[in-house]
Amino acid sequence: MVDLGAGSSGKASRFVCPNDRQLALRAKLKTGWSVKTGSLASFSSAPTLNQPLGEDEHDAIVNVIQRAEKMDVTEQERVGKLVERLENMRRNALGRGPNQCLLCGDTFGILGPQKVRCVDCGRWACQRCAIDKLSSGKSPCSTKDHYLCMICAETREIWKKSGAWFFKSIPKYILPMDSRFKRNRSMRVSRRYRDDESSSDDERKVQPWIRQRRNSGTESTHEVPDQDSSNYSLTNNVRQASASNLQLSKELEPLRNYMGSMNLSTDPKSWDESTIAENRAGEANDGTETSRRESMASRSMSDWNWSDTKSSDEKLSPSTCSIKSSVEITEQKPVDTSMGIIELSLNYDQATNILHCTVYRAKNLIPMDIGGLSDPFCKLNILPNAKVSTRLRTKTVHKTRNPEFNENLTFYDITEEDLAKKALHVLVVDDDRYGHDYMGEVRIKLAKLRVQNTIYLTVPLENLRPEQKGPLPAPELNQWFDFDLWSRGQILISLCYSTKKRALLVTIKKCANLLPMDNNGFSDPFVKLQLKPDPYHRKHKTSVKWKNLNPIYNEEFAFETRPTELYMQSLYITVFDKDYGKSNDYLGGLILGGSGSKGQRLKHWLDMIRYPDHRHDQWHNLTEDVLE
Amino acid sequence: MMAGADPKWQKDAADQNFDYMFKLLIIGNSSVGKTSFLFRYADDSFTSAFVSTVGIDFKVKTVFRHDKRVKLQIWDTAGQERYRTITTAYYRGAMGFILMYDITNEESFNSVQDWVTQIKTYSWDNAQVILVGNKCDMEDDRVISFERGKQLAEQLGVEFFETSAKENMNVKAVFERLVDIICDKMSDSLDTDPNLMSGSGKGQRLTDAPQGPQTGNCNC
Ligand SMILES: Nc1nc2c(ncn2[C@@H]2O[C@H](COP(=O)(O)OP(=O)(O)O)[C@@H](O)[C@H]2O)c(=O)[nH]1
Ligand SMILES: [Mg+2]
Ligand SMILES: [Zn+2]
Ligand SMILES: [Zn+2]
Repeated sequence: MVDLGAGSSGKASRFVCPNDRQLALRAKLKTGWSVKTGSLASFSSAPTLNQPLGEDEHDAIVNVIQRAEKMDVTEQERVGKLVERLENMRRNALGRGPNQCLLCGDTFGILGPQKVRCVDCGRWACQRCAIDKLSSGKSPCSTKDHYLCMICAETREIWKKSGAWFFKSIPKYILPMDSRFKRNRSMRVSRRYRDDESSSDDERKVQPWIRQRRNSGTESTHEVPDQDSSNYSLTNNVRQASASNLQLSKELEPLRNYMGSMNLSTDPKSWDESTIAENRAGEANDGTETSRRESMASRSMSDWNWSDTKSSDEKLSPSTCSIKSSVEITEQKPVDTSMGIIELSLNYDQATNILHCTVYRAKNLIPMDIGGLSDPFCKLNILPNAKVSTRLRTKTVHKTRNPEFNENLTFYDITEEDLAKKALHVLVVDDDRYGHDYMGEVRIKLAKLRVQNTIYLTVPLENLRPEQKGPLPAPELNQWFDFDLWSRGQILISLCYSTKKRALLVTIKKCANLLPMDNNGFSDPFVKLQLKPDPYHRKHKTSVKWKNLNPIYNEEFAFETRPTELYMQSLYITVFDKDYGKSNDYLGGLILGGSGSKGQRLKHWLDMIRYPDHRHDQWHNLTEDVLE
Repeated sequence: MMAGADPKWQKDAADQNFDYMFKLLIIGNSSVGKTSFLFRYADDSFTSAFVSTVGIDFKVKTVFRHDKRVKLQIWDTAGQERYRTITTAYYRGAMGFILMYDITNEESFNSVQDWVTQIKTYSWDNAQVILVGNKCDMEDDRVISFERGKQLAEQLGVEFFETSAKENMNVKAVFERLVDIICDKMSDSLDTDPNLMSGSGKGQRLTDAPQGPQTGNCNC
């Protein structure tokens, strides 16, 4: 009844290959060509039961199926990545025998780590290599019977994430390796498909939106981050390679020679050996510590564990200075490791246009929670003009400032031309229920990979986004920025506890870069405020600013409360787009204080409590999470 | 208009940054409001013009639920019989169904049982279903009372909502509830059935057993 042959013959050229189309459909319609319809005729009012599909209908359906197939491939690749990660974990498991942790291989004993038995596989792991299955779940009680080794925990995750729990087996997947070949073949098809579309409708629809945002103008007083993406010179790679992997330094000899001939002065942010040497000399270490305090923590934060465990040895290993003389140094800039450092390697495969990134670990990250710890993960993307679709992330490592990621992330379709022009952006982010907080970033030019297939790097994270600096420029103004964390816009809030009025005074000053929700390319934003818990259940609202993505309110609200209570209370701030006749659209929100906030939001709150009768102004990112 | 013409979908469809992917299907007689319901949810738009859906279409929406990003691929199906071959082909991958009737249309309500049979025939047995009586804004034309809908749902052992795609009533609630039900089912399946994973996952190299649902224990 679905007459494909006849329907497609006339317009074969519009699609890749008529046979493929038929096959695609046939594969999808594996229920067969003749399907019992009699029994169902009773609830069908359609008189056209045996009418073959018209050409238009046929094309429309094939179009949908192709879209679905593309999504399926993406999904299969995603599952493939999960599977590969688990495989790596299995391969890297070191345990030999019952006296050792099956993962890290540590020997159990009175002096060694405590052992726990995995409920799923029954093998023994140390407590570090197992997770307490109940602590993350509902029941607070935890006994020895509720541990899962990392491998089994990961397996469970895969069962959930891939949908295997539903289909009762791991669905079809494409391992990252396989996909190189598959992709090369199928990519041509899908690219053409994409081109067809983008050249027409898409373009027209996207453009006005951009224009509108540009016209709307931002209040930004904030400097635009370096257009020439800050990066680290080749010196760095060599040094790091020798630092982390001695046998590699030989392989890098040609590269070192190559770099020696390069003029490094064009690179404004090169991190060269001499500055490191200075740093290691000790005096600089104090310097960074101080600047760290000043830039990141305010006075009130000094009672947090800012400076714990920070030894100079941890930062850089002695071999880092060894090749200093081989590079001509033309510019010196103090190294700022106050945001911590990150270790990673990049590998480029020319044959397949694949860029493999391995994120090993980060050290001395800034603390985000009240206990002085963080829940970091990394987001990787290619700049300029970061696309959401290419963004990758590592898993989150909880409650640590020295996370071990050991994760491979893969970018596809990176051409050699891209290497010349583009940079890898690594953003370290604190994972939080209520929004993700910035922990620093680094941009690494890919140009190096044209000379050397693999590079190892240990680089300091930079703080290009201190929240205090204000809102971001509108996205299209800065192609070297990944707007990921800032996609919902920002809000400037002033907090003040008035001892005279015995009240928390909250001033909603303004918002910037809000999302356009209405068809006219704007939103009609207003802000709701609520203090929780609050015996009086007070709710406040600002006025509505019509057709405005950067509204200025300067409206003050008072919540009567006592300072001691403020430690327990949280301020819920939510921004909505006013819509008549339907429910208001959620634009974004945030929680200040209480257990719901970390990082800058927590700091802002504590400052307000500790320094009453002062105004504390701070920009915050709005999160897309809907705050209840 | 088909979802494919929307530039945003490509971004959403290609995004791999999520935890779970759920495929959902909206089924029910022609013109009960399936397409309107999906457009309301995914685009927050509504049009009173009736354009019969051609065969199938889908939209993608990523939602946040319990700390997790859930990517929804929501299939809109044509109610018409002539497309049945195509639409039923997609039952197999669906974890959830929104079975819709029109509270102003008796026939659409009477068909619910037949749609349930369709689900039982073509989908996985643990697929979740929500019964939805749409167009509840048209109180004057109502022919199916809330109680009748509720009763039928109880009889079928599924949850029930009355909605209006036009007035945006309960649209989001239906999807969120369905996602929740599937999430619950997911946690349960792993916690209560420890043997679930032993089949092709545990102990054995995963890469040796890339069993698709089709090749596995197919029960069609
Ligand atoms: N009053 C009202 N009309 C609706 C509602 N949902 C859909 N419609 C109208 O019902 C007709 C059929 O809707 P459509 O979504 O195309 O139905 P489908 O065939 O199930 O996809 C259209 O004219 C819609 O405008 C609703 O909730 N209330
Ligand atoms: Mg329809
Ligand atoms: Zn261990
Ligand atoms: Zn185990």
